[in-house]
Amino acid sequence: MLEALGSGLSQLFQLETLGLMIAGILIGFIVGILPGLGGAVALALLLPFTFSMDPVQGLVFLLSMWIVTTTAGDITSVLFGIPGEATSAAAVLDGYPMTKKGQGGRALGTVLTSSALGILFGSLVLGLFITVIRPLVLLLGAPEFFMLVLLGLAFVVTLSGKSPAKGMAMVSLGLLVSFIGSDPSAGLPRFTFDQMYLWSGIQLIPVVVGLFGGAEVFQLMLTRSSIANGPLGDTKLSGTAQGMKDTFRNWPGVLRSSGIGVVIGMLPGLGGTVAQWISYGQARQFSKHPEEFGKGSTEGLVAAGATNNAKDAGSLIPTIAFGIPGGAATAVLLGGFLILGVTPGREMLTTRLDITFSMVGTVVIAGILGVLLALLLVRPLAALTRISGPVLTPLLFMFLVVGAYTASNNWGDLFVMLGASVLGVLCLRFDWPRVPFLLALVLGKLLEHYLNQANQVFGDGWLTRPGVIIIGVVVLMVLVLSIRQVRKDHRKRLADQPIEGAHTRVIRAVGGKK
Amino acid sequence: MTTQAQRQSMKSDLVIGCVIFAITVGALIHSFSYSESVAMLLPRLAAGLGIACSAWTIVSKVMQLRWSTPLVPVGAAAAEGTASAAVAEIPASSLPTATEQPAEDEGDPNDAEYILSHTPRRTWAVALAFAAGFFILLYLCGIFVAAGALALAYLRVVGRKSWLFSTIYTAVFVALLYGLMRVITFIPSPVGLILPGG
Repeated sequence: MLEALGSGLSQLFQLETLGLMIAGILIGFIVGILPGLGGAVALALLLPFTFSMDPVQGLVFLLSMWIVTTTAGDITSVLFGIPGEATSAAAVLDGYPMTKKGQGGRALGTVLTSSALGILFGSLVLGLFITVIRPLVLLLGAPEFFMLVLLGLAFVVTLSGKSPAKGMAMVSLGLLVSFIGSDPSAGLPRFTFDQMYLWSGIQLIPVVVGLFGGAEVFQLMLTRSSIANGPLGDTKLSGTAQGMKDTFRNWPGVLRSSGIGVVIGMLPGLGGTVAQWISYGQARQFSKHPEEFGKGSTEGLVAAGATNNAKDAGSLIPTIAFGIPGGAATAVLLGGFLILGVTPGREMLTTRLDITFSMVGTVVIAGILGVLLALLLVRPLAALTRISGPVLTPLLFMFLVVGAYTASNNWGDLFVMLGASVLGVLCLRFDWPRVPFLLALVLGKLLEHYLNQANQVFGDGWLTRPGVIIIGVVVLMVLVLSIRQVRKDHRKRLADQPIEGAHTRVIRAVGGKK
Repeated sequence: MTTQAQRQSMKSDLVIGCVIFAITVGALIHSFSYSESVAMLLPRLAAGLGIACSAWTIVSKVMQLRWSTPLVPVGAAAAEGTASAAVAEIPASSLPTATEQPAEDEGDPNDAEYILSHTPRRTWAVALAFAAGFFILLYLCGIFVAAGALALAYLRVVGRKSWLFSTIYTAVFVALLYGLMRVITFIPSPVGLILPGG
């Protein structure tokens, strides 16, 4: 194994290979910043360029680009409230409020450092467990995946804020929207209202872009000021070092979130969109200040950043070990493996272990270089938030339109984005939670897919599988703990702010007359 | 949050709850119009969940609104003495609430809820008009014309920038957009009904 490690790293440290890595990093950085143009699309576009490369060079080029898109995706989430990637949506919740308070540099420092630590953690797991993980992942089937999706939904209570009922109502809306399109068993259309566009279901990207980005751009149009504005205008754009310190101080959160990212990333089909919310939910549960979540909590931002990058390393495990892609991007990457003459599975773990280790090295080096590049650009990037709102608005409008339209190149995507923007604005205006809707939209399709598979393969017997029971217990624990937390928060609020009934009002009225 | 603001918030929750209730009931009824071969178990469960939660929200908001009734009960006022009794039958909306006290109305100006609720209607109308105008132009003339028109008009009208600045900004912006989408990445973009190349 040590020989393979040495061989893999020596192939990686060739001048030409390192040059390709730098090229990949730069392309990935630009792609990550452009909303909607995700890692999967970029991989697909650049795949033809690898035809003439040798396997290690080709994989280094593709991997370095893909890893950096995730890091760069967090930058627009934090600075403009527009997620560069669907998997960067959680970073909006706390990163953008920090930017609005003039702490863009600190927020970027936090999210980028946690990204770097997430990459390191994920790569360590990838390197150490790639050869021994096979039996563990093979234990999981459709029933266990169904339960894991349920676990993701269980975090909704935590993410619902003050009112679980509102959160669950949004979940039901999100689920109903996710069920639009052909049903998984018979392929017959449901809730499509004779619209061809709806047959393939509602695309995720326009919803994410509208729900978060659209609503934020509209706010910018209303305030007509720069993103970092208001009475906090004298705060500094710097603070990157403070953000880095915040991350290191919150090392247990980094470890937990990275762990969640790797595990969820490793499970095919679940992907980063689910991982980020599970991680965000657990961070809120473990936090001593859950009330700060969604208002600029560094703990929330650390969770989003660490998970986002760790899950990429995690998703490489099943791709390399069994040729099972964890998500869309790894599916394209798998195509790259085959084009470059590398067969995933036993070969990658035995005779071509050197290539596997060169991939691990690429994830570490490209990930860290991507973060360093972003950190170097923190000041100019954060300065963008000082640009006048009207100057920035046309540019952000293009981000929204192009980001949404890339989903399926259909006007329907733009209508979905507009609808999601309206929903986002209503949620912000009337204090209804947006995240449960998005989480349900992501998980709804998976939930039905795995339930269908579990029923077809195992009948009713899947309910008694040990994995199902264990995950079921975890789901119950999460629900109980979440409900307890909500009740505790509610009691705290009551203690801090006495309810103003008629009695209080009379006293105030009399006091006012005096 | 002031009492009036709380009541306003409850009312809006009530309205949104009713809308979600209507949508989920509609979805449930609609689900029965499909043949049995279409998988409807989870959609019906989701609709059921929505009905239950929105109904819960509606009931709780109605009860909260009733409890925080604008008319102050006489019994409570009597306990406060004669001064209280004098104001007992006065509707709460006419009482000097915190909304009339500037110090208590100060919210976080960076908070989305504050921004959206405190923006004048005229600003809302202008923002909505620009958004609508952009999308109509996008539909008719394509992305480059719409982007250019939005940039120029928005900078002039809302940004109050000079003609020179607005024109240079628009030209550079459209050129960059064109270069990025038609020369470098070839990302498909919406084409116009009238100007397919725009």
